[in-house]
Amino acid sequence: MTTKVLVSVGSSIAAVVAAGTGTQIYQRSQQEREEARVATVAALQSFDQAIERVKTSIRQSTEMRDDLLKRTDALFKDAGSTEQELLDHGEKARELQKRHATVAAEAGKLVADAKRSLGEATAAVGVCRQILLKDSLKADQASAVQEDIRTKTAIVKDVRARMDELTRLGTRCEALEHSLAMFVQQNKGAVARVREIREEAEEKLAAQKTRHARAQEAADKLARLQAEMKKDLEAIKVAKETKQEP
Amino acid sequence: MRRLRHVSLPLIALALFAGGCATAPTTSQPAGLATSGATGTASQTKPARTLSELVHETVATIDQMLGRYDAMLKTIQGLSDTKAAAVLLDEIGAYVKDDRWEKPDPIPEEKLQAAMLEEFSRPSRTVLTHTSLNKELVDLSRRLIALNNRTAELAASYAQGKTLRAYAAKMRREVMPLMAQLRALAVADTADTAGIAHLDAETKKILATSRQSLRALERETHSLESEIGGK
Repeated sequence: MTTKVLVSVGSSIAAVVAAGTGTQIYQRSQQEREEARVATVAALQSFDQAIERVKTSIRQSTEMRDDLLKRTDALFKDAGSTEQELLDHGEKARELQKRHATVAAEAGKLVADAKRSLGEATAAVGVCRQILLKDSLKADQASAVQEDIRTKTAIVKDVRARMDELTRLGTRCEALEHSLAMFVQQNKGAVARVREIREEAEEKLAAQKTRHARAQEAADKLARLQAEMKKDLEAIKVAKETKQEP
Repeated sequence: MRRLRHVSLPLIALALFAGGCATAPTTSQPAGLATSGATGTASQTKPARTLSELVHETVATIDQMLGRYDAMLKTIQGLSDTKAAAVLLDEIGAYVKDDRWEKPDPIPEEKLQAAMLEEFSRPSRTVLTHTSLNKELVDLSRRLIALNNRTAELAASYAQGKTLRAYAAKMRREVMPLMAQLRALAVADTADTAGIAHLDAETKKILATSRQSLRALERETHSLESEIGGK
């Protein structure tokens, strides 16, 4: 009987010791759980910070993209107005070509008239000189003819000078004709190029809007993920606080 | 000789008891939980056995040990009272209170068994076996407590670990590709910025050149018209 009692006493002692060890294990387990909780919270906070950084990056790039969109849109509109203005320039150049044609025709006519007048005057001077050389005129008539020759010679010189001037104008007309033709040609090229730029700007604008939408979508995804994560994080914190209260 | 027996017996019992304490279940980091807070990566190893298997195994061991305990108890109940057993347990109790309890000398199991056979009578060995069984029970109880704690810990931390793994997977599968996509968008934006500026400058240059040339042609045409008209 004593043995049984003593065995029971021994068992009780052992149980007390075991309870002490159990408490230690329990405390260790609690500590590990707390460490695990802290690690989880830290990891989630790290995720949250990473997401926040991405969101900031998206926000900054969105601002830049907005500016880019404005610039592209402005280019698209500018290219449109430029194209219209270049078409107007082409129209004006064609009007100038018409005016040039008129001027050139006038200049040609003037040159022809001047040449004819010069020929006539030269011929008249020649006839007068032949008369004088034959000496078939009387003395009083001879002086009048000589005077006439001097006058006609002066006219011939004047006509020749004006004809030279008209020739220079003719040269300028030809140069203008060439320049107008070149301008019209270049204008066609410029219009085509500006049209390309407008189309390119339009394409870029569409692509930028798509990118903007994708970035917005990404931001929304991140916001959702972040909200979900914060909710879970709060739940973990609340669980901890609730556990600590009792 | 009797004094030696009195000294050896508590030592053996103590060694058996302390052996149990020394083999206390080591608690590890909760399964499925990331420990790296800085990186947030869930780098943990899953236990080889599931929690359910572990529980069943422990319960089976406890049942087995309880069966052995019952059998041994019946044997003890059949023993007559002896002074040796009373002294033995008394000394065990005294030794438990001693500060040496925390620092037992390691004694090999084989030596203990041999010493028991040589030094102790059958009743004493029975008591020792009973004490050993008690130790095992205590050990099992302790393991059960630890297991309960472990279960609670896993139940609590598993949800966190699951949450963490879910976010790690989300970060890997969604956020990382998203960041790559955002980088690609940023590259495209940068290229566009330069391209748009170039096209804008080109458009302005084309327009300015056209305006300048047209003005010059208009002046020349007007000049020719004036000069020829005046002739």
